[in-house]
Amino acid sequence: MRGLQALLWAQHMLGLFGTTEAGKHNLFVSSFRTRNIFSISYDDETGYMREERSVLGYQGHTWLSFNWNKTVLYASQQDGWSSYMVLPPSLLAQSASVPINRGCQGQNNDPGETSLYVSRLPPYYLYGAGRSACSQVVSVRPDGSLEAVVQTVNYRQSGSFLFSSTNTSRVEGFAMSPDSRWLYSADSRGSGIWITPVDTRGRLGTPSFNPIEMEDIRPRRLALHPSGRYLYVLNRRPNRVFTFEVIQSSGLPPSLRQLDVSIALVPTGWCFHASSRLH
Amino acid sequence: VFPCIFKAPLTITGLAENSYRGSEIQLSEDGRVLYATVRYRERKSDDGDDDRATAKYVTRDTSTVLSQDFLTPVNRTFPGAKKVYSRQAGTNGILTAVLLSEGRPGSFSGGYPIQMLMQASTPTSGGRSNVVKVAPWNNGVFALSDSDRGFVQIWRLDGISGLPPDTVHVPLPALNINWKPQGPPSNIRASIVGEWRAPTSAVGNKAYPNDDDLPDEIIPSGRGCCSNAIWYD
Repeated sequence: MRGLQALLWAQHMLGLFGTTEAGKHNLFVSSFRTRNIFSISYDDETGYMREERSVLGYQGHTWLSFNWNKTVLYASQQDGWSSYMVLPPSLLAQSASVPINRGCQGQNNDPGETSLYVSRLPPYYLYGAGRSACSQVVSVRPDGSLEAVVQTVNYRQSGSFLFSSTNTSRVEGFAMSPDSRWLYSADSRGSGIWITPVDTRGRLGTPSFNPIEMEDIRPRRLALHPSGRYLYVLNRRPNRVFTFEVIQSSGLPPSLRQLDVSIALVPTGWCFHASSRLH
Repeated sequence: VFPCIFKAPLTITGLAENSYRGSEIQLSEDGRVLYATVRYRERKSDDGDDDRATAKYVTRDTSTVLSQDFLTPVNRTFPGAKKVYSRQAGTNGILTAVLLSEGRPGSFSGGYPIQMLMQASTPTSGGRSNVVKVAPWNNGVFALSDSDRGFVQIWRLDGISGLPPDTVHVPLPALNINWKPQGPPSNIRASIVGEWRAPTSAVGNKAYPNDDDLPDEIIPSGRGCCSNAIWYD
């Protein structure tokens, strides 16, 4: 393992076989059920695409994401997450696979497909969730390999403890503030956004819930503008992206204010939109 | 009057909103363009067939589209399109690109949605994927992954850099992009410029639409390649 790390380091420093031709770009492509991870290239000048390599991963993967400097590829899968070392520009080496902690809110879950978000600031931890009411923090080693689930955080709306079913929340998508201090999570069952503080060790604090007061919208994915000012929420049901203004206040979790702009993803006719407001 | 969002039974193009499910969302690295997709959702047989309509505006620009697939605008033709085809719509996903305000560098004001850049149907339902990933080197170039037929396409949106840099002169009501008509700027132009097909062995088998009770060696439809395609460089 130490030898591999040294090799990777040398490659990144010297670009040993990491040199790319002008106009040629490389992508990694995953498959849901088969273990293939394809490395394909695209030539911007000719439009030519081809398979460069195919490697076998730990499992089929639903989602791929790089770490901050693209030395590691993270992947989500049924029941957990995997990491691969990137050997530029088109090769991968297996490094680790970490199972999800099935325990959530005192119950044993069938986690299903996981989602993931990788912090761009130290300690570069991975934040993920199965199809449950819990987020999980996965630590990484100095080389970026996944290490272990080090924390599980419960998402449950206050007042719902009497009906403490794990069905009240399901976290499906993440975003993180530019300073990596706040983790945003889309909750499709609870119909809102959780905002969770992240400390300097990468651990999560107590989440606070921001409901979206509309029926049956199922927030699914999040994107935060690089400015940190606007949060975009993709909803599963009404096929709309809602836009929220992020209002910062020192020491407190940011608050969300819904804007009148909602983006219709299915072309509709004339439609006046009145949004709900969050405070 | 918000029921309009949820109850619109038919749209001007005959697309039933209920037949789609919000899928994925992604920003370009420079924060100027927001991409979002919906997947086509199989309708139950008792839904009736009224909402399946023919899209009249299907274009293909033979000079730039290298792929065999048609680029299919849902509600309008693209400027400069040379041919118009008619084709049944309703089983395709939809891809939307929205221009965001720029803001000054280092300031705290970028990211407000200004204008629709493109709304086009994807070549397939998307399977379980239909994920857009924007190239790190160009906010108008993106990879679209599909697990219905098992491909990765490269799309290109030209003309973004020629748009006004920011929103200062846009009157406020126009910022609400639900207000129609507000089509894409005339100098925006979309094309599919590349396609890679996964080997058949890695693509879900159309003969097996369901997950249940299948042996491991059979990949059900939509469950093979390609779930996600990300740019290394």
